[in-house]
Amino acid sequence: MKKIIKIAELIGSDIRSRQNADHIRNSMGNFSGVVELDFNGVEFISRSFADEVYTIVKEKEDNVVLRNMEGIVGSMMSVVSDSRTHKRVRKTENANMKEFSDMESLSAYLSTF
Amino acid sequence: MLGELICNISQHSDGKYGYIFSQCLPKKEKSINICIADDGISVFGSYLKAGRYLDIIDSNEMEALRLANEGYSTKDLPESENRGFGISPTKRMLVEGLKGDFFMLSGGAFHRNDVNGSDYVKLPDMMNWMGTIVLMRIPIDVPQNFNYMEYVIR
Repeated sequence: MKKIIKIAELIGSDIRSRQNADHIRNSMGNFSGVVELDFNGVEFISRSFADEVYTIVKEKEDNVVLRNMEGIVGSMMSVVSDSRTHKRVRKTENANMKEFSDMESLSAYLSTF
Repeated sequence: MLGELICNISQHSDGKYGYIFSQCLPKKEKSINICIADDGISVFGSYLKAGRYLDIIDSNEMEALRLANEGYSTKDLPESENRGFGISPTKRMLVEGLKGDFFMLSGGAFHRNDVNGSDYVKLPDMMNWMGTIVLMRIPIDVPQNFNYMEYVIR
């Protein structure tokens, strides 16, 4: 038994923020069969939303199929999938660390802005 | 960018209120200025609550701010990362990609990052914001070579 969820109809064609993934979770409910998430008509998904979709796939123990992820939607999903399976390499900033104990020295620093 | 930073309020701040202000300055500044704020537990408080990186942070709010801005998540996923990519690439996209300005004040420290450099500042003890404030100056004119996907880190 398969359930198809059309994401463009459910949420829209331009999808941002993690909370939007709750619409998918609600739509899936307690359905125990295979769920197909059809991204036909979706033009953009943010990385945060893609990350939540990835979580949904894993929550359902890969019982979720993603369809029609084209263009930037597919690229974004691919980026998220890669990052979930690899330890992240962080970039250390070349930053100045400054401590001020009084208002006078802080004001002098702020005046350089 | 906005989605990531606003989500941080609901996911990490434990605040009661969140605030968003914006203004468009199309002539002289040619920018959109956005302020996102909350009255939560601050970045330092979030690490404290999660019990993560406390050996690095100790009691230094400036260090907590640095970790957050370098993508160290309060979520516990040692072998892979599904969180903590919000602030860091957002800031890179704004400053490196769009040539804008970024400012974050949290608790007793602030961070500013623009084309001139990056500073982390510990404020005098009498100064403290119970929460987090993020200011962004987003230029209206987007550089021709700007590519959103460059800032979606792997």
